[in-house]
Amino acid sequence: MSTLTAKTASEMNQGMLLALLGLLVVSLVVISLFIGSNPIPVFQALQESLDDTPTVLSMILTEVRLPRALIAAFAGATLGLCGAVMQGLLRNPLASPGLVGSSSGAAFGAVAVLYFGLGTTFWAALPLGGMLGALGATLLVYLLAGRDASIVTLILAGVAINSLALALISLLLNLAPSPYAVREIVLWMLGSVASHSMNEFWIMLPGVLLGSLLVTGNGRALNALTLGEDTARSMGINIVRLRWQLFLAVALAVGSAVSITGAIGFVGLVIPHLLRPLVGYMPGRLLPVSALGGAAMLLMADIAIRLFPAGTEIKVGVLTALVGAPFFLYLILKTRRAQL
Amino acid sequence: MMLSRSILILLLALFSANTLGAKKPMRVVSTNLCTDQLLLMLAEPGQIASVSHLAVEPESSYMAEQAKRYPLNHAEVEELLTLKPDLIVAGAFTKKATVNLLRELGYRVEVFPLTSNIAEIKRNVEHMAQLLEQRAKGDELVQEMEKRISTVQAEVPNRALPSLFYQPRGYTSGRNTLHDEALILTGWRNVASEHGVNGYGVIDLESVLLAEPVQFFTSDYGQGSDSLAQRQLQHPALRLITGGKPMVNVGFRYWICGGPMIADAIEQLAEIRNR
Amino acid sequence: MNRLMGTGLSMEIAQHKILQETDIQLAPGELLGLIGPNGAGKSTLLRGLAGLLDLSAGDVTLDERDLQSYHPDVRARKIAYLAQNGEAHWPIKVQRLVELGRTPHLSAWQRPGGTDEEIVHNAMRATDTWTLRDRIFSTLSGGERMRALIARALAVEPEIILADEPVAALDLAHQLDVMELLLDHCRAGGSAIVVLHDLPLAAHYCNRLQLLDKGRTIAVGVPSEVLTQENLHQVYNLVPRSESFSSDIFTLPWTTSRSQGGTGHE
Repeated sequence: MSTLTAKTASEMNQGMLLALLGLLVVSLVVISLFIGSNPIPVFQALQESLDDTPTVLSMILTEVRLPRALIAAFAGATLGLCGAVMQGLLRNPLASPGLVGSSSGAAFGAVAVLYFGLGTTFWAALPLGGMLGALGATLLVYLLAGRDASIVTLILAGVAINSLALALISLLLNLAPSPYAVREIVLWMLGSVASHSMNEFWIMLPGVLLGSLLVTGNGRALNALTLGEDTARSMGINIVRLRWQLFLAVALAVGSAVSITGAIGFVGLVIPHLLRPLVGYMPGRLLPVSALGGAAMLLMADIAIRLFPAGTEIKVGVLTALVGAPFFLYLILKTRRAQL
Repeated sequence: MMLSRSILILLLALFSANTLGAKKPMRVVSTNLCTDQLLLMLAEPGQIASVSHLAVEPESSYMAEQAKRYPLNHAEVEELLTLKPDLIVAGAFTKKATVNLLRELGYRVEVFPLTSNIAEIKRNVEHMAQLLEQRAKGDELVQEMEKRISTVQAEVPNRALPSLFYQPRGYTSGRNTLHDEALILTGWRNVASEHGVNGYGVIDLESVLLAEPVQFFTSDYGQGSDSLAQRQLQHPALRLITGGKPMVNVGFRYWICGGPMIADAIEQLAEIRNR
Repeated sequence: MNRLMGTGLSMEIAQHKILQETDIQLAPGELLGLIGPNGAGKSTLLRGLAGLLDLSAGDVTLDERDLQSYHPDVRARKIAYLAQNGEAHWPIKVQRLVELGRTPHLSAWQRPGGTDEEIVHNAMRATDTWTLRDRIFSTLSGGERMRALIARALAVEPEIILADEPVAALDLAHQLDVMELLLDHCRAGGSAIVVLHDLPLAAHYCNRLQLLDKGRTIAVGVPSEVLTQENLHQVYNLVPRSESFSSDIFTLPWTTSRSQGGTGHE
């Protein structure tokens, strides 16, 4: 009995947990502003950025480091939140934007928009492409795997759709008259938050906020889903509407984020998992916690790659994959053991 | 002793020059964009049997117009054999296996090295001219290039200003590149070299800004296409740091292969410097 | 007055008639047992009454009003549904699971408050699960799990509980436990429909039984009227072992110490 209760000893007060994670994210954003390829006097830069005429220091702070930190925070939050949403909705600990194809679908959508020259028509074309790609891929996986898909079926369907998206991305990039095609593929499949401007942040933001807004208020429904679809429906939850609303939310948020950063993997898988015990395994409580956790993870990863010696250009997605892939294997082994 | 040996060498030289003269190549096949362009500049029209398919791409080939008159090849052994070449000119990027196979089959294959400075360009031009028995044309081409470059050099201000070739995804040209030599000849400092980039490499945005370049150049290949990598060239900080001066595109075709067309690029760089 | 009533309920899936023009009535305070062989349509009927199924034909009324006309939250506050093989997909604590019963009473943003906590507490005391409140649901024994799930249903404070085979896979004592809990609910003014396979158990606890076979109602009424030799033969193809058959033999020879002693053990 004592060992069983010990399992949940890590559960924390929700308000406290949110405050701690929020503080962590804010600190990481600040740290992120202090770390770059070159040491700069940040306080002086801050002072200078309050003046009207831009200086080199203020530019590095506000045009390079700030968008980088903000994009990392919001993209990370999106991935963490959407991972928690999908795991809750599909009641499957391995569901995540990366595994069920949302991310690679979004990447394909964005690449298609760029390839067909639609990206310059209006600002929202790029994230819209990402959203459509994410929605299409997610629905395909969902239809392929079926409603009550087992973990294995879901992963297999995800593998198929991910490969298809990768193939289509490669095809488009190879057709494009660009010697950077191969590098672009790497960018889209691994993801990076570096070298963006505030423009990209503003492009990404509306979809991310809209998606998050669609998720909020559904925590109660995800909690009820813990007891299965019938029981949840008997408690007044409209599952059909919930499913569509959440798929749409994931498409909006992941589509927007990925169309700017590329498909950064494993944040959506790892973060909900690590934080779930802290919220007593309640899918609803996990949502805001996971969003903050995702932001923290991506910020940390992006800070870590900047600590490597200058000149080595490691993409943030490489690091999240290096951490995430072994974690994924561990999860598979754990679920396998649970099924035995 | 010395004298007889000198005579022997002289005789040998005369003899070999004669045989070479008798074997002036009349079916030359080029398998590589760089040799394509030298060939098109130096050969009589009757000497060229085929050039590579890239030679007709105006983005990458300086001689695209002239190349259209000749059959194109894709550097595949089979198609090369059907062209019945008496000389095959290839580049450093031509597949080793192809070159070896052609040589084993008894074909004469000349491989041209890459160029990363003007001296190497001269050497390649002279080498090609010699192979084609067009030395006079080769000398003329080199002299004209040198004349244009020294004219430009005389005109640019003495004080060198910081600048940078900035390509999509932060790629740049540092020390030991044609870009570097061209910038320095035309009154610019190369920020990438000073940052420690050797050859072609990546420079991060912060280091670029800290160096406060007054002018950005690019030789973006995919002009007109859109990608996240290319969007990076539109980063607002790049415009802010140069006080709103737009990035200048100096065509890809001047740099991808070293050749006398470097003089065009140098003139463009100097023109910006003289403004 | 009927609390819950179904008229002419039919369900057809891929031309297979699962339920055919079945009527059903549930009065306040009543514990109704749904019995019949596998595939008789019991679960389908129950899900139809819970509003979980789009029936091919027929009407369900709750308190004399069309069930479909209720807002899902309102319906959910009146009818609690206990699914077959109830499980929790995440390793949540028992107390949290029971709290989920408050879902229909809370808006999307609301967190359970003081009254909710009290109701949850009461439900857990009634089902003897309070001592299990910090245990992980999936680590409980079968009987403990079912009691926790019933506590979840009670936390809804429903008028009606619809329970689909709640005693399957439970040992005898736990079966009685569960039936006692449902009976308590009905004695307190609620009502319940429970799908059962154990005929003596059904006969002992239920006020009325409804016997289904191949989607049709064969018999309905007090246990002695339904569990006749003819009906059992027709539906289950059972014949009595001795000639002295009477529905009295369905009386249970034992009861739980809890209901005997009057107080629960805590």
